[in-house]
Amino acid sequence: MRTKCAIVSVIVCGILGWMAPNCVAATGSIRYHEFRDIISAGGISSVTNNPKFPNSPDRVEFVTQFENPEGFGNHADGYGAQFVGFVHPPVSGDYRFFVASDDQSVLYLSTDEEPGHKELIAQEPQWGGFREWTGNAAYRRTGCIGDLCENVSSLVHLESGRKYYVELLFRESGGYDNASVTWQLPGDPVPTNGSPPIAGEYLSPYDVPAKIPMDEPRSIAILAGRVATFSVNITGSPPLAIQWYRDGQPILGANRSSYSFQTRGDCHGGGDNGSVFYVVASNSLAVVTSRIATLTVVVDDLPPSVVSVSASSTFDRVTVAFNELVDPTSAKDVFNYSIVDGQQHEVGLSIGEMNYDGQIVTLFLEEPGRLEPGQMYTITIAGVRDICGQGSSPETFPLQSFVEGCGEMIFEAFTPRDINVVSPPLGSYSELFYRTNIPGFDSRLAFPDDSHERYEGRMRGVFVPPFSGRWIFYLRSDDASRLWFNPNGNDPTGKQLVQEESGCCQAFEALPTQPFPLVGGRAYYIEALYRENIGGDYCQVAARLEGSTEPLVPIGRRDLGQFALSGTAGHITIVQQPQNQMVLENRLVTMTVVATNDYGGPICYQWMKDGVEIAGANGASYSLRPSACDFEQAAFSAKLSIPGETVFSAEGVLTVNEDASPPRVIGASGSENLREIDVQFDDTMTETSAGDAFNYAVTNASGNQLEVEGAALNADGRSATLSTALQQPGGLYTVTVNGVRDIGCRPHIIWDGRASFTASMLVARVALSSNTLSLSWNSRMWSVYRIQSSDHLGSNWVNSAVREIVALGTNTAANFPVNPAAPSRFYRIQLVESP
Amino acid sequence: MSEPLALLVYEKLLPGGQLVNQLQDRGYRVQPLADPADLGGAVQQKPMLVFMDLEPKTEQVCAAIRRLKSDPSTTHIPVIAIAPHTREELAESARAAGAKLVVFDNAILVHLDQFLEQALQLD
Repeated sequence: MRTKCAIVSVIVCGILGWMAPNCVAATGSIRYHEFRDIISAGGISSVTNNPKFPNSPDRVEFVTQFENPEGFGNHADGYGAQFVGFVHPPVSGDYRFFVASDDQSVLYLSTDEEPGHKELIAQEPQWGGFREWTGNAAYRRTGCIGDLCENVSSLVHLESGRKYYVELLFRESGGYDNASVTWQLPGDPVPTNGSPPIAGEYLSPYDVPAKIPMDEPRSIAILAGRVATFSVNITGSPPLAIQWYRDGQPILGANRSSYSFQTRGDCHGGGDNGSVFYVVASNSLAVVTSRIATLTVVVDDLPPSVVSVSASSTFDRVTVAFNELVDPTSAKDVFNYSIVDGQQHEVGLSIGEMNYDGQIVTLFLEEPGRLEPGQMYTITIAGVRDICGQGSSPETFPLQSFVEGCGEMIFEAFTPRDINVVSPPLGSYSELFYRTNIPGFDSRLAFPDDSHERYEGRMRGVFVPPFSGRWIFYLRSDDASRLWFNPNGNDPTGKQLVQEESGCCQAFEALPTQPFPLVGGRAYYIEALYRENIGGDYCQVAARLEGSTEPLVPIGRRDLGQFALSGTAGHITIVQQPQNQMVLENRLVTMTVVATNDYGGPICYQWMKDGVEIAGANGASYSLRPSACDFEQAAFSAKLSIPGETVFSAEGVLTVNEDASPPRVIGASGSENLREIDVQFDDTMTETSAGDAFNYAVTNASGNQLEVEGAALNADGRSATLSTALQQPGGLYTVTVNGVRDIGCRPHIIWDGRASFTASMLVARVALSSNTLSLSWNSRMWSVYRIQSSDHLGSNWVNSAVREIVALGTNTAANFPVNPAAPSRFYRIQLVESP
Repeated sequence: MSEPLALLVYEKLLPGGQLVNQLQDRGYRVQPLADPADLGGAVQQKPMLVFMDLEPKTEQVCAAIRRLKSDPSTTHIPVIAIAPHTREELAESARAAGAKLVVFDNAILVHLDQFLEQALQLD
């Protein structure tokens, strides 16, 4: 019986002639691959990082609905699973997918039947209930809009008659475990919690016979002693078994898609020369053997050549990188190197050390020797041999010492443009709401706590290795994040995705990148993007040399460009220099410098007064209130820096003139609590004199004194708050000031300064609940006389049933019971001045 | 006779079998061979490829594959060996004999297009 097909497509093939229709019928199941012994830490990556993933599952099932085989229950702990197959939409239209799992899961859907086109469409961030498609009953989902959280996809348009690759990755740590996927068909309502997952009639498993491209592996010609790597792009599902063969014999442990080994031999073309290699890949559908590749070992008669020489950010060492493995004895021999400065003075070397990769040598300077920042040196190298004994002739190379600059990167935070889109992909938030520069690769330097929610943070700048070598980066974040890096230089357009956190909160060690060979002092573009839903939020990137065991900490100022090669990340142009200014003492004045960086990175600023750095003055402008006592004239300038460059602005001269006019009282005002008076001055006053209550006198309209109990200068320096005895509501008062002085170099004193004000009127506030009438007022001189009620506003007032009240003259608040069963009523409260 | 020839060394083959039908649908002229020993003569017709069922005469089939692959005049002819999906050891025998592509009987019809494409690719 031939299989029925929903659509028919015809493909022309030159050899085969007419091909069969492209069958897309569902076959009733989807593949379920289970991987046991998953580490408890980490999210989904603990599944994908497992050595058994994806080709060696512990269990394979064909489940007849999109759900784990056993459904809900506590079946096992510490395992992960991968569902792989196709969904077959019954009608064309917009679908929405829902995933519910315990613990985490991520759901991918392809734009067609190709796994390579898959996109993340929904995820379970921590855990959800069995078939809990909507809502957030367990409070483990975030970013919910109504009942739709990030476990729900956006609308996806699917065509009937086609099939779409679908994949669910799921992880179970402990306790109950379940994983299910359902969908909302076009025109259907949102599925109710508990409704069944996608049925087998819309599913088919991802079954692809083992396949190896016909031109792989490729033959290799390589110098003796180098690492040879054969690789193939094998495809297939169910899981594959892979075995490499050498000269017809299986190679023990060579069971991955690539096979590398150090070529053996005597460095003269023998050994491995002429060996042949092929690989066999098999699964339950087919066994395929690759073409045969030949290894040609070329006689090594070339000496090692120098790839780079580099100074360091510590100024105490130099690294030399060769193009091949070098003989450690000759490479570490400091007599094979000579470094001289511009005056031909030799720099002493103490010891050489081989790096982990066997191709880079670190030369340490003789103590207390130190390369001078920004200076040019010359290094001569002779006699270093490769591992085949080929030695180099003397060669000289320029060596540039690092210069001090700026080690900061840009931090930006974004909110979503459309808050109604559920679970948009990382990178889709576009509304910038915050931007600053940070001196480390750590978002905590911008947002130090967890108070920000539902945003994306981006950090970008340059990584400047302090030494040459093979550098590995490490990523950790809460929540998901991606790390990009340009291993070729500082161009942002050359960035490559080098690491990704799909879940949350793993340790640095869990997410390393591949090693990158980098030259010390050069700037390399680096960028991280992370998504915060709710709760904890951070993103950090660390770096260390391959083979290093140093603790992993976020990259700091030093390696973000504080020390770098001159000109490695653009140049600064000062557009506007600080201007000369003249100002009256104690008045606010601002010095400004305007500059651009043609690379686009952040500029660091340090303001200086007469050549001395001012602590905390690190912006493009610097504001101050100078006193004529401090200086009459000073030169202000700014030091501007970026990685690899520091420039100094011109000086702007600030002239401070003494304030010759005496201060005045320009106003006074009361407060609602009738116990405070705010006195305003036209100048900045001293804290001591303005805070002395004896310098103030307050009298009412009758000339009677009101006691001044205290005084304090306010933060603006130009007003003081007096605390007084209780003022008469609406009363007229006059404040007289004597002995308060300004902060001028030669202070002036106020004598008989006066200002009048009217005290606050009586203010009463009323709140009515079902059974209580709460009343508060601002003067103890007043008390409640009576409360009346009426069913009409403005007439028929009768004394309240609570009785007529005359409160004591000591309170400013009272509660009165009212009848909760009474119909709507109006209340009238009368207060009376206490005798 | 312009259609390409596919030889089927397939003892269990019945007239009108699915594999024959599907190959004919794709424009092949199909010639069944019940005995692997007949392969030596049949390849003189310059087949496009050869299908060889590893059951029941596994040893004879593997010997025929070996002869085909060791003869410079026939080594280029692609061979698709067919093994029962329950007997992976037969697949290893065929691979050792020189069959670069061994497919299991439960996959041959479903994935025939890929197997044809794979077998006919030129190195």
